[in-house]
Amino acid sequence: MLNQKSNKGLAIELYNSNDLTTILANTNIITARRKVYRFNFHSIDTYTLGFASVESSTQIVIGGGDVIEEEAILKPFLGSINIITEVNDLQTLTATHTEDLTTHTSDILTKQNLIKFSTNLETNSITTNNLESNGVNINTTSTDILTRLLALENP
Amino acid sequence: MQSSLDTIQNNIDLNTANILNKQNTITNTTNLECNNFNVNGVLNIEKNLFFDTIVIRRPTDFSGDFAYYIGIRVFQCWLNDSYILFDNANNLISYYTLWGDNELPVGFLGSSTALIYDNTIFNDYEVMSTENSSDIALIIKNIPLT
Repeated sequence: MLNQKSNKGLAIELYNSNDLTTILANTNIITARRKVYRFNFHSIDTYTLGFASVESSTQIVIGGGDVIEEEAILKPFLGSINIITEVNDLQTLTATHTEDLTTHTSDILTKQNLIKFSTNLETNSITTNNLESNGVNINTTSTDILTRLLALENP
Repeated sequence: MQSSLDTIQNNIDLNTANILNKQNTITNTTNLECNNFNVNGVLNIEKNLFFDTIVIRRPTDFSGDFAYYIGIRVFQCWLNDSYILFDNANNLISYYTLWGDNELPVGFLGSSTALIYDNTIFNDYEVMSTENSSDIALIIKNIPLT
């Protein structure tokens, strides 16, 4: 909320203090005198405290009347664009990406398929604390083996 | 270029089909929830993409008249239903400055620039810069990384 006599031309900029030359987000420049300015980011949708019809210290004020409401700008200004330069750059990128995609296709085929219930696995070793087959726990401790042998001797 | 784009499209279609048979890849947009998270190397957290500083200034030197003063009644910044400037007021650093030399504070009317986030709303300004320069800026630093 600004003093109306001096607010034209002002903008709000967000920075990381490690770099006060790179704007992370900003607002448009104020061009009209109002009492209150509200600038929204996308997450305004997650705000749940309700909106105040007048200036408030506990709620975000609703737009309209003496309150200007605008969307904040997340991306910094990109500067002027030379179409020819951009097309040439795109051409170079396209060629590079074709090579990259061919490499990726090759790489993808060497990766593990999605493991699912029907996947047959063959591997060098498996280490686990619990292994079941057809609902039967396969317990291979020496105690268990001895128990099974005793059961065979004394049916 | 059209031929190149067609080739790319064919490769993309092939890769898409292949990718659907693969384990999902963890990217910088993936939300992870796991039991243990072990890092054998270095864990880097990119903090520079978060803001901790708010600047109010005239980036185009426009003011609409002969004066360039910045007067503020209250400044609110809401995040997740919290008024983060007021909540962190004790840790914030705020001052008027000239943007070209923005480490050096300059003068203002009012007792403290902290008044703009004390959650008290006045009809007139609580602080006002005294430098009549188009380069005038108000900086609020030390905001928790957001």
